[in-house]
Amino acid sequence: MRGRQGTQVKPLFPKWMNLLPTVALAGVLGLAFLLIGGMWYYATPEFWEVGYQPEQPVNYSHQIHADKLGIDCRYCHTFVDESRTANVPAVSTCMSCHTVVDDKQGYLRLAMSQDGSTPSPHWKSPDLTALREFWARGESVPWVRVHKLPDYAHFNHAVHYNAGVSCLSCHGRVDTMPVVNQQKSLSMAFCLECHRAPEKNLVDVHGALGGGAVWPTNLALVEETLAQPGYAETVGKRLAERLRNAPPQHCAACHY
Amino acid sequence: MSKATQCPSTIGTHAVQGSAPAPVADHTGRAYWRSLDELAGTAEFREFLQREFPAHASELSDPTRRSFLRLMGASIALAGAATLPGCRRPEHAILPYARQPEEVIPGKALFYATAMPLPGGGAEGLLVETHEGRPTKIEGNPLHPVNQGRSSVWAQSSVLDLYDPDRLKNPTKMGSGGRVASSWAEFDAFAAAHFAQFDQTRGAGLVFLVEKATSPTRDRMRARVMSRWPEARWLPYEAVDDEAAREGARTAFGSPMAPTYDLAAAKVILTLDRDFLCGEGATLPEARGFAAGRRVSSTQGEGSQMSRIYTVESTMSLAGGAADHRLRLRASQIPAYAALLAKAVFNRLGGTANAAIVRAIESATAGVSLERLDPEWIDAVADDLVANRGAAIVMAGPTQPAGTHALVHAINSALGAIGKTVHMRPVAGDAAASSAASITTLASLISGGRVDTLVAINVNPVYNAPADLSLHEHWSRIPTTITLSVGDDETGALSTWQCNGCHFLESWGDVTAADGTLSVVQPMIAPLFGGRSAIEFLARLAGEAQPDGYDLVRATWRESAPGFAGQGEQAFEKRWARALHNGLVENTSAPGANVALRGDAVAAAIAQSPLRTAGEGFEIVFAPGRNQHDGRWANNGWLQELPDPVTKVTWDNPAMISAATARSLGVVDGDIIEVSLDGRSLRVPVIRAPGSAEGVIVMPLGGGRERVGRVGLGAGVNTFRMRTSRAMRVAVGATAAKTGQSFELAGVQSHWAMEGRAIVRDFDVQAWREHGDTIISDHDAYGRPKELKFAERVGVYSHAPANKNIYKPEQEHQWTKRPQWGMSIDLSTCSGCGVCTIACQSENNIPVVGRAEVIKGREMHWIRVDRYFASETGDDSFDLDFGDAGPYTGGRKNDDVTMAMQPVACVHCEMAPCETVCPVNATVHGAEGTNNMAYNRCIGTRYCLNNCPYKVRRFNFFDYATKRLHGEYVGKDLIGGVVKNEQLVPPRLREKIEAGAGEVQTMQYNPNVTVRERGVMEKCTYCIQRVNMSRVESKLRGLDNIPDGFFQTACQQACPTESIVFGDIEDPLSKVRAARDHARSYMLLGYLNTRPRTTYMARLRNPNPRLRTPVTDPFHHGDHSDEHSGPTDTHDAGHVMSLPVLTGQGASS
Repeated sequence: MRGRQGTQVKPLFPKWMNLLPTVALAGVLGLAFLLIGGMWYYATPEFWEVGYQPEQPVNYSHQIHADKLGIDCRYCHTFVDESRTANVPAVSTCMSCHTVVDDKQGYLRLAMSQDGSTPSPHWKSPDLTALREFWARGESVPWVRVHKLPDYAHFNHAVHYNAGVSCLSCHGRVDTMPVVNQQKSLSMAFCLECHRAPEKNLVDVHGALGGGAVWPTNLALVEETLAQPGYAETVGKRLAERLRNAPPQHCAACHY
Repeated sequence: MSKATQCPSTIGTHAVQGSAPAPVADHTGRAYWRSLDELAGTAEFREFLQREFPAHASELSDPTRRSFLRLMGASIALAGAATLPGCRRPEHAILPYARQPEEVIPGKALFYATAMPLPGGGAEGLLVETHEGRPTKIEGNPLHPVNQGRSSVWAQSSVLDLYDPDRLKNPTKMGSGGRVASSWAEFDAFAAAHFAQFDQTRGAGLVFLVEKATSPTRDRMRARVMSRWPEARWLPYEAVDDEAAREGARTAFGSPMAPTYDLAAAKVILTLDRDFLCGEGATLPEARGFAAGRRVSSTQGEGSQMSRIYTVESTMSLAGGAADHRLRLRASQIPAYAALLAKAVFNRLGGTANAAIVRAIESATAGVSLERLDPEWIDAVADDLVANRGAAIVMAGPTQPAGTHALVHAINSALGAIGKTVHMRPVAGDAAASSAASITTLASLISGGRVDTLVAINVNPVYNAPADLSLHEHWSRIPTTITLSVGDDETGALSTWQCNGCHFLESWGDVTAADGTLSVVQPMIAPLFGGRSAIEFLARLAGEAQPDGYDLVRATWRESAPGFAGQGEQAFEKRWARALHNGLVENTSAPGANVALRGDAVAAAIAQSPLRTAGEGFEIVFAPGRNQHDGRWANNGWLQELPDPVTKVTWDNPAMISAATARSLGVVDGDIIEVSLDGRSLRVPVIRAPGSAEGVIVMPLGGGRERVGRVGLGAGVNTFRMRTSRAMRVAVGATAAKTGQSFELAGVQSHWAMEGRAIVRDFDVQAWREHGDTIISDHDAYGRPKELKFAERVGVYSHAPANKNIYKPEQEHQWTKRPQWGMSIDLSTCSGCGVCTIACQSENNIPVVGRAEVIKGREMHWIRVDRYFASETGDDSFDLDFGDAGPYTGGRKNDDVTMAMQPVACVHCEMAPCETVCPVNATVHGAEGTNNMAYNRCIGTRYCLNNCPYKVRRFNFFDYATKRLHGEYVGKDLIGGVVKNEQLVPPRLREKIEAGAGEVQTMQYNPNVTVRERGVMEKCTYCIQRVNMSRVESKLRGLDNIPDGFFQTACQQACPTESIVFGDIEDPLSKVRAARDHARSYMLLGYLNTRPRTTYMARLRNPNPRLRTPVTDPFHHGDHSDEHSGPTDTHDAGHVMSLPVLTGQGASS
């Protein structure tokens, strides 16, 4: 290109700029891909929710109570087999054991020093002090919710428990957790996975197959049972067939 | 009509220009219309009809776009700030009990029995659903003889009153500069000193004005108060009181009595201005009896018999709409009709009749005749009554004078009804007192300066006392006035002390039901605002130090309750526990008294009352609001928004006049008239209520509360201002004039109209007996065989092919796996009372939207009751006179009407048109045949509503549910500076704002139903939460299927006439299966091939051939090209689901 005086005019844009639209397009596409892919992976309950472990107002350990002391889940979550909610225990439930410790020294060996003469450091635990304070004030402990379904999703504990779905399937090995955290995504896909193939998660809660009942609350045993090779295809399958209605998969089973 | 205009949404305005057709006659020989505008086919109505929502329904109230954008910016900014604490979900606390109460299982509802005291005495026995101590839903107590598991509109809605945020929260007293907040402690200190001074004067100057109640404990408190102050006056008062009935019974039998009617045992019923189906005087047993007498199951034998109902009334009542024959007469002329009828009856009975009465009637009716009265209305009715001696009932309503009531007792007694179909029960104590006497006594005491201290308990005389007594002016002349009431009211506002009372759901008490059953009022929750119940209040005045309702009731029962008095401690406790469990004491229902007619007294009463035959001028009938009664529930949004069953108006109480009267006045619906009587005048909007007598202006009471709370304020007109102590029910000689002003009434009568097709089907029982068993085998246009039963033989379905299936064969569901849910509604027994609407609202967390929104057609009721009028005679020639009054006020024939009621909720189509158009699959089919809404998926396109032929879907235009009434948010102050339209506040921000604030209304919510947000479509779910709960429950009990009757839907459970049946249609033994297979069943718009799961059973009427020739062959009819044109066009045009919105001329233009 020649100017008016015949001089060569430097092009306004360098030649490599011709590539810019291509590069930009590729960049935008790439970004879009990353964004969508990022959302796809990260904006899911699996990434977002699993591992949630809030600090609780009373430092209660499931590990001590459920594993070490061997207390059944239903001692505290009393109505899991009756009600849609697995109730969180009242302070009175805690105090049904922990007051006894107060009054009759030595009733629970655990709370005492080895020789039984003085209360153990555990007895002086600030966590129990916090609990006693709630009790004295007549207030409930404001436990922080770990497993939360949205309001429009209705889940019924009782029907799952009685079908033989263990606590383990949704809550993981709570009995090994000093502080409860969320193990499963509890997303709709998670629910449907099991509703489509329930046999992987069913134990013989009522002993219907004659091999003895497996309590869904016995998490270690359930884990072991479910992990047996071929379990789903044999026992699980038979248990699934015994369900009076196959697990529903239509919307209104949960959303209403 | 071209294809392009076939789609309902494109029909637009050009179609309106076509000659507007009158509603198309369905093939039952009757045309139905829902409003006079529809009948006349006004352009406004046509346009209204063709929008799926009324104009502006989807527009924001906030005007400019700019402010909208500014607002959105602010909201988003705030939303960001509000969610900053964590990117994860907000922290959420679980608060278990501190001490676990026995019997409470979190997540499981508990049901407790209680009883609701009714206005004026009597009670309903209720079962209240509580969730963790929070009452949420009222149901009828199945053990209670009054309810038998059913309930009234008032009982259903009472739970909302409990959570009314405008309730009085503490006592207040009149200070020098207005009312100041006080406390119970302060009041007690005042009362102790103040009332001690009456001990010297034995109570002279002390007056108690109390609501009427039939409570043994309150009677005991009365005795205690009166024994402390024997000179005090105790005045029971109700604004609406059926005094004439008690007087009439006193005349006839010597003591005040109240009749109860066994309608189930009656074959012929004549009611003289008494609506036994709705409102005042109506009782659940009567509705039940009505239904039992009208339910027809077979064409032969016992099951084919139905009762016959005649009504003579001044305005359309539900009983009048359900009747087989209806005569319009002014209330003041009905005594003349009663006398003429009595004469005819006694003549036919001959010597068995009481001679004195016959003589008195002869002389009273000499020369009396009612103008334009068909003589058969005397002769045929009298013959029918006499022929059914022992199974006939004549009843008179509260507008009738005592003489007519006495005469009616005489007729009943001559017909042998007393003791068989009519039971007289003595009325005693406060319930027998005359309210008119009480209030006039009070007025004279006040004007004589003889009232020093007035204690008013649950009464509101400043609002509702007769206008001539001017109590509102005299009230402040009383030195000390003390009121006790649950809600704020006009009386309390003027009083020295206004104390907060207790709702019946939070207080102990007892009450005797109309049939004498002693019932326990058991609290469901501790008093929310620390109020005191009437008995506690009175006990404290009487000198008890710390009265507790529980102890008071038990003490009464120890003293006097049947089966409790004189029992040992152990037996008492045992029976008490049983009474608490059942909600009543068994076998305390008083039998009907043995009564003997006092002929001479009746004769004297007849002779004393002159009969009025001419109907000149205007006559005002003061009728308690069918929903509002006397205005005591004015702050209850559910009741305000429940349409009046006849006028279908919400939030207002317009005067009801006949179409002809409207024409003579030159007014149309909503126009304001000025009514004058004795120097008083009142401006009221009118609504044309077809079926009213000429010249009668019915003024519903209960509107126009001035001090009540946010909901009821400004709803309606206070018609008590026109009522005087001389004419508490009917006032003659009024004048009325058009004012030229008008007012927009929030009516729902033509919302969601489904014009012209055979929607409601109604036959004469004679036709049923002849053709009921006939099944016609036919072929549709595709050559497929089609079987038609009785009710299916009319309407489009009978002679047009069903629409093509909108689903491909492989998409079609196979509906065979049990359970498959279905519902059947019997139109023969539906009274139209609307309790299903309230029960549904309360069960399903359905919001109240307010008057302005109803006008825009945004009402949210999932089940509505469609009310259709039809010409009673079957004569379809309408007088469409274009008077000066504006468009189409209609002619006289439009007033001789009958009604048909049809509750419509989502019919759960198997081939649901809504499902195919949802772009996000938010509305889908469940395995059990129900059409479901997944709220969380809905993006609010409203396509489903467009495509729903039944117009049963409702859209949340705003966050109604989370919004405080009248647009008030709890934290409005907080955001007021930034966000002007609080309806646009995002939910999460709102949560923050409202956290910790008093959310008393949300306590009513059913925890098992999602509270819907803005932009979400919703509709009837068949109470899916109950379905699912029952499925779980049946699984836990090891049942293979959910047994029939294992649960009921909310509407079914409430229905007093048991018209709604719900269950598994695949269960061969279920009631709903039987109802679906019945020959009276038909599908709504069945020809659309939507295969609805809700079916209707055609209504049957039982006309007397002497008054109207029954239509015995309803299937042969003239040219019905109207029916053909719609679907045939549709089919030809290849539009699978488009609706034949226009029929007849409109469609072909």
